[in-house]
Amino acid sequence: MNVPSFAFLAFAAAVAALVNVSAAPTWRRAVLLVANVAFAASFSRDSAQLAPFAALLVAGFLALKVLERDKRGSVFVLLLALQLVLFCWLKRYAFVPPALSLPWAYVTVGMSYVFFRVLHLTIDAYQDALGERVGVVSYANYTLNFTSLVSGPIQFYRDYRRTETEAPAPLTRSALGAAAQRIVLGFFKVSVVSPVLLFAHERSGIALAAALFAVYLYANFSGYMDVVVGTARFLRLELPENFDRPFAATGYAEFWGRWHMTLSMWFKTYVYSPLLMALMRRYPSPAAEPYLGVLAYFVTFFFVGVWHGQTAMFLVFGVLQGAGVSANKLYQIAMQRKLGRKRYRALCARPAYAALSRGLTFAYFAFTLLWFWASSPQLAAFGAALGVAGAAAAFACVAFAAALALWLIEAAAAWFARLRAGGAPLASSPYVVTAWCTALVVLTLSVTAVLNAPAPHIVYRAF
Amino acid sequence: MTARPLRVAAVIATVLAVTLAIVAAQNAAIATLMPHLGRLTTDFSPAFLRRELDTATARPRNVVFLGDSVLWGYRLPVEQTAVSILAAHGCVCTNLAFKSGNPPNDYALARVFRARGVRPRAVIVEVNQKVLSAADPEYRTLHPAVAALASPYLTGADRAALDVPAASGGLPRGLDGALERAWLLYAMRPDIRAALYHDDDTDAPAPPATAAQYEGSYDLSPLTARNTGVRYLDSSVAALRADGIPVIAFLTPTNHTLLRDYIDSPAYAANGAFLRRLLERRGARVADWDRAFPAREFIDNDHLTAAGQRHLAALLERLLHEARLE
Repeated sequence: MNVPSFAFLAFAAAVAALVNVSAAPTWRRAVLLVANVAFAASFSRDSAQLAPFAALLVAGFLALKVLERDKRGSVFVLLLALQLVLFCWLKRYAFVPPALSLPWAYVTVGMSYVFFRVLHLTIDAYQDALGERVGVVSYANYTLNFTSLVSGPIQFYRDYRRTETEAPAPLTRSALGAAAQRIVLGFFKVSVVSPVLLFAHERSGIALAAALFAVYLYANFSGYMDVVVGTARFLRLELPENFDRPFAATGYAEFWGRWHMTLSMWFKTYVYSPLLMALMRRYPSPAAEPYLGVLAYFVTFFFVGVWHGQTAMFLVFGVLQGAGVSANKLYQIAMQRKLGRKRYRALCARPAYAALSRGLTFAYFAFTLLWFWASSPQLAAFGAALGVAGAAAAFACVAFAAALALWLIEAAAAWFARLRAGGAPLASSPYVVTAWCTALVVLTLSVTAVLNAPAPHIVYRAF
Repeated sequence: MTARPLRVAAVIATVLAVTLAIVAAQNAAIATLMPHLGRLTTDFSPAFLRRELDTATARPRNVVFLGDSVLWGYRLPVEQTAVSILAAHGCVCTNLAFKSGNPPNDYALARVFRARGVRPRAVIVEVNQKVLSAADPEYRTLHPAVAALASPYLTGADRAALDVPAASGGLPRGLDGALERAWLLYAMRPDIRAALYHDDDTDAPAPPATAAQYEGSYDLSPLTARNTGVRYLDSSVAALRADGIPVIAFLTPTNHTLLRDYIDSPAYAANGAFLRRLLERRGARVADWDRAFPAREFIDNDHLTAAGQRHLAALLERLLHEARLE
């Protein structure tokens, strides 16, 4: 089943109706279990195609049960390594010899996101940080949660359990209205904004294509997030946010704190923090501390980049993400040393500086995405056509245009937020919200009718 | 007590007002901005056909072309088709050929011309022996858009003889019809899609044609007035001539080098002669171009390459000149 699609909405509506029949935890867990398993099974009718996915889940559960009893470091490392090997093998990473791959096509949708949840359980079970023993139903519901199976968000177990069983989110009229509004907005982003941007991207020159792809990716993935977060709310589940206006970021490190936030948080928890701690133990010098942080950032965001694909191209993408974040951190360290913390903060607060920083951040992200969507021959052709000077000029143009566009968007949003009707902000008027949502629905139906295509492709579904 | 119902009514009014405003804006934008594409799209809608007919009606000295995928320009971009070349040379022409064109569709269009007051200066009809095969039901099937427009003008006998495919929109017919009448974007959705994403078959190279592919495609049994295609070809020319519209017919160029084992027979030649006599008897001017094109100008059995379309355009131009219709 595609997410988002009208079939998904119908399925979620049926599950919401059933799950809200009773507030009893057993009922909720039972309905969610049936729904989660049914949703996962909807990707194939052939059990052989579902078996590898099931094997990954079973392996994760067995590791969890072992680590709940046996806390030896060697056992933990062995189980972690086994799970990593199993995942890389099933995901057919380029370094795994094809001869070793399973000789049939099988379901891998959402496997990365499930794997992050399984690793989180494994590590936290070893560290005794889960706070409870995880039963098979809780494990299945958490790892297979149908609202976040396909492309996340990556929720931590205790946060999931809170609204699944302990304190389901209240079904108030305003909460449901906001959830419905989010679903409408999500569908609009995925069904209208992303196809339009993709259409323009495929017909543009390199610089514009790079910029359009970055916005397309944002519309596509954040639209998906809006749909699943809104849908989950009808089940009284609360999913974590994955985006916080990423293009408002004034630095690359901040950007990754606003883009795919649950992935960044996972890597911060399980890669950055342990690595930094280990480095600081190994090199216990206060002077070296900031640079160790930069190194830890590089390693962390290298892995964040590499996670996005199975080929060597994504090694380059990983290096560029790591380089972007660590260079940004080095710049901050250097500027604070040169200007002092207070003067540097004042500089950052200047509108022109902030706008330029936003433009540069956007342009860097957009150009690193070349390794995300362009093939090697295309990259070579771009390089040959532009040369170093041309590439620099294209980068500068995108940065300047993005700075201007983002400043205009921020100004328009601030102006709209200031508008008031009857003493209350206009944006919160139920009639304005109704008109806005109606417009989005009509435009979504218009584009759906014209394209007459299956539910739009979610880029992050492939990871 | 009254606050809540009033508020719900206001919300409903807001929804209706916004919906109507957007639909009206879309209708105006499409009516103004939707381009004339030079030929019908593959899945053209009744609304698009109606628009093309209205344009044809409004143009003085217009020449209308009827035919199948050969005249439509299979596997070629629109600007390389014969009719587009003629238009570029100054001919005022409308290409109403389409991929599954056949005599029953030509007849239905002739009836629509009469009903809607379309009076072209001449109608050029492509006559392809292949589409007169009695064995293939596709050749007695109306295009859904043609059927939708011609439906009021078809007799019971026509309905019994012809296949009219059911609409496959997924919506109930009544709702579908209401949406098509009120919402131009919905009504012309396949055409808008074709305009955005290009409606030609040029994405992938054509696989090399072999004679064996066409075994059975040409029905060599003697053509008679009982053949559905022949009957409707005769009726469409008669209807056009009865309205005083000059008709020029040409027999479709065919790749005899490729198909010689299947069609180079007295039966095929006799059927060609039969068609010429039939058309001339109805007062049509006939050009027999069945063997007029060399093999290198074909993509397959009858579809022409860009060079073939240029050749066809040159022949059509000469024909229009001779008929004083250029």
